[in-house]
Amino acid sequence: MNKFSFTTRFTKTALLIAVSLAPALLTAQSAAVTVQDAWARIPAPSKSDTAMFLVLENHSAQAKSVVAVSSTAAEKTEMHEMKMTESKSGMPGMEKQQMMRMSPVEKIAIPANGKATLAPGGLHIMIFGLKSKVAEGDKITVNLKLDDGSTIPVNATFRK
Amino acid sequence: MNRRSFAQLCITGACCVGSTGCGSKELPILPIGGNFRLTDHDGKLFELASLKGNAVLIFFGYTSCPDACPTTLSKLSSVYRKLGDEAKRVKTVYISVDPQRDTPDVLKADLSAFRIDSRGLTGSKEEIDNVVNLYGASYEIVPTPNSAAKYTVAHTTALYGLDRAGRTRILFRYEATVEEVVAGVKDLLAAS
Repeated sequence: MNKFSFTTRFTKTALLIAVSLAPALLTAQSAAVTVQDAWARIPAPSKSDTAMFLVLENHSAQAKSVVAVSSTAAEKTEMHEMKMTESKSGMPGMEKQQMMRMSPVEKIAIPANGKATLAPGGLHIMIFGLKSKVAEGDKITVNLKLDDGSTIPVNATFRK
Repeated sequence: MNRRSFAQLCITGACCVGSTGCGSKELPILPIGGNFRLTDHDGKLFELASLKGNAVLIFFGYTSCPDACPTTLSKLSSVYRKLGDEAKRVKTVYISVDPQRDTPDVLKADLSAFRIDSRGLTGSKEEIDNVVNLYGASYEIVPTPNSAAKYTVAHTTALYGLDRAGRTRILFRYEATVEEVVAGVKDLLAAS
């Protein structure tokens, strides 16, 4: 075996080890934040857009944020929030009604040693343009990118 | 106590998110609502008065709404299931505040996903605005240029409970539970 082929083989082996270890390293890095109860609503029959919900738990002493979301199963994913505000109008003698407002948000904060709950009536991930029809029990993978550079792949189950 | 102050009391108090503590004979007649005409999900003229004899649940929404509207529709599916035979005398009216996207076909398709006896209604902006005003509701088209949604529709979320004569008797808040709506519907069916 000449020196060149040994070096090439060694480099290839080192690369293979690095590639095979990368997911484990990534998982270790993002294990500070774990995900529970991930689910997505089955879209209405005429729609390919829907919302996804989950609970993020930060096990570290450092506050973290989700800064981007992506999925290969949809045309676009975004972070959104539904908020209830008081209606500007109202009938005389009656309490003003609650008004539902929906808007995109740039990030979702997860407090140190705390949780961020994405649930109906509040924060959620909007999935736009699902590329295939889904049914109860189907799964979708959405990647959450954190401000520490790590990425968390989330498997959510579709239900009504 | 005059009618208006009683209505005000009931809307701010617990008795208007359900029947607890509010006997059916005491349900106030709220100073909102009334008959109207719009286009239904079959493209036909719909008149609210055609539902007289039934308890009617009305709410305003839009089918592209990803959260509040499907949550209310899911809740109503549970309400109908819990009402059993009484559900036959309960009709739901879903009035779209997004007529640009909610054509009759879209309303029909999307409401078919829920097991409720419902009519999806649409119309011109002017026609819808008249009904929105009649019921003291409101909505606002909110452009979202940085989102794939293009625009969202902020809207009031109350569920209006009408008695068999078509009079508005209960305003259920968005947070009202299935049990509270079931109890309220029973009161609407029993109300004189």
